Amino acid sequence: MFRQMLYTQLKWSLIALAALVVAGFAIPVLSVQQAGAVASAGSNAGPLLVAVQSWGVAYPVLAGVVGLIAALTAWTHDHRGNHVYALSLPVARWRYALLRFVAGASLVIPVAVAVWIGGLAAGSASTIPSGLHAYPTALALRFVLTTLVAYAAFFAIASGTSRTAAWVLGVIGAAVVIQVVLSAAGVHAPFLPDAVGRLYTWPGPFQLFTGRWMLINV
Amino acid sequence: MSSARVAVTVALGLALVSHTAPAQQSAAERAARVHALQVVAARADSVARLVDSVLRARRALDTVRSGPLRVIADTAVARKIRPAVQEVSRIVATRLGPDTTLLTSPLAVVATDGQPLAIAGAEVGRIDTLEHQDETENRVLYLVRSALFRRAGSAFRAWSGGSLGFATDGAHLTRIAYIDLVTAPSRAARLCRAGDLASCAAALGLGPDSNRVTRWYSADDLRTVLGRGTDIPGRPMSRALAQCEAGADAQCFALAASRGPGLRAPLGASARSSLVVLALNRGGRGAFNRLVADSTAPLTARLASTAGMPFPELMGLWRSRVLAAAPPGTTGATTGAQWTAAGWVVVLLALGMRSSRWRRS
Repeated sequence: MFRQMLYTQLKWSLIALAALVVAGFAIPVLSVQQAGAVASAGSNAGPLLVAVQSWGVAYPVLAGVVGLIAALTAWTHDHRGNHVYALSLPVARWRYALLRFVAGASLVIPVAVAVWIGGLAAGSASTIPSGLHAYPTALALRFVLTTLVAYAAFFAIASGTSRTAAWVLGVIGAAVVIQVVLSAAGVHAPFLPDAVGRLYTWPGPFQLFTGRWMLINV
Repeated sequence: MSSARVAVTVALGLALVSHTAPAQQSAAERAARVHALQVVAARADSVARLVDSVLRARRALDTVRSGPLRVIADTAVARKIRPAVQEVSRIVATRLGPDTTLLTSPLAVVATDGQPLAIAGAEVGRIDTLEHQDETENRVLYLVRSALFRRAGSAFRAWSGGSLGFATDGAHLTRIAYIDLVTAPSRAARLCRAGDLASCAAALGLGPDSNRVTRWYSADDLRTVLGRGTDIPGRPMSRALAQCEAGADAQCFALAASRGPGLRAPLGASARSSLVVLALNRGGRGAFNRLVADSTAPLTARLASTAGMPFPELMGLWRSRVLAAAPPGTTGATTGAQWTAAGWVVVLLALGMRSSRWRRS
């Protein structure tokens, strides 16, 4: 049953997945495209690090997109068929969801491998100034974890009903409105920025999205 | 003459009598004894001047003593700052090595309640209005650092960039020095990484002043260094800099030379502090006193004397320490962050598995 799920999810997302694999390979390679020029200009590490860092934002964006597409692909066809097919199967809901999750998570692997190979190729093809090092494996591992967090978050949201989604959006909207009203009234209670900040700092779920994503670093 | 000065003078006289040299004494021994007595005399004079000043102030003052520190403060302030002084004393002991009690003269800072108070040989600063312990510690530390710097002389102050490494621990300074050494657009820094110790000294702004521009930077380095801050929209680049940017190497060097002292050495305050902290730690007893002993001597000689080893050896030690201090790659997530992320994946999966969609209403 898992093989069937994996096959169907792979089929549904094949074109998008191919594009994401290409992007995963291209980002590390493009991030060091200036390395050769920098090295020939006197091995200054600063400009190279700036160039690599400027591409760093592409990795979490790609991780988010991969997570979103994998999660939506996992549930779209069930939603379209009102879950009749899933309900007709002799499996518990939790087991069905788990199989869907694992099948979707498997789709993350090709993109992560592409990031890793791209990082290895970029690291070996460029002249890295002494004192700096390429970290393709660490980068790929972080990419996998970040993508899985994004995928799990979107998977949880997508698995719910429209009513659940409305509740989530309603709570977020209410928080924004309350924050605006408090600010307009001159009350200094920045709970919304604090809450968002907690999501992106340890031990928040999205901490891996922040910080530097450097293929080459000290 | 105050009673304190009389007492100190008598004590010094007794010390001299008790240390009367035997007739059969070598010249070196005599010189050492004279130096030791000069140190004692300087210390005694410093104490006496301090006490005189306090007596003249005619204020209700108290002294907080901890290690090498004597903080003279108004009585109310003294109670408040005692824990801060103890903490700062610990920090000073860490930075200056085990020999802090052998400072040539007592290190005195004065904490006032805002009223003017002049104490000879002491740093004076206002502390009474500070609320938090951290702020008080920082203020006391600042005063102590100022007092130490005053002794170190203007050449050292100018070179070190205003830091003796008190703000952070030595290991942290060394890690920053590594990043500076690796990322500095500098010929000297690159040669230092490759093992040229003279270039290490040059990168730190030490050594002979002649040809400093060419020792520090290549023409390509200068294009980076001189071009910093000039890319302001609407502000035209100077003709000389434009020519330098266009590839005229001679113009780059001429422009750099025209900046004089404004052109800084490649490695800044943190790297220099890491060298000073290393020298102090390696120097052991009397290290700080040796650093401040002769403010007219070349900095390389002073640092070598501080560390108690030849300067090239100190430079080699610094280089190996710095290169060994490569920080862990910041690209990868920490183990804690990885486990936390894995935990969140499990939590979110559990939420997905318990969706209300298939539950009975």
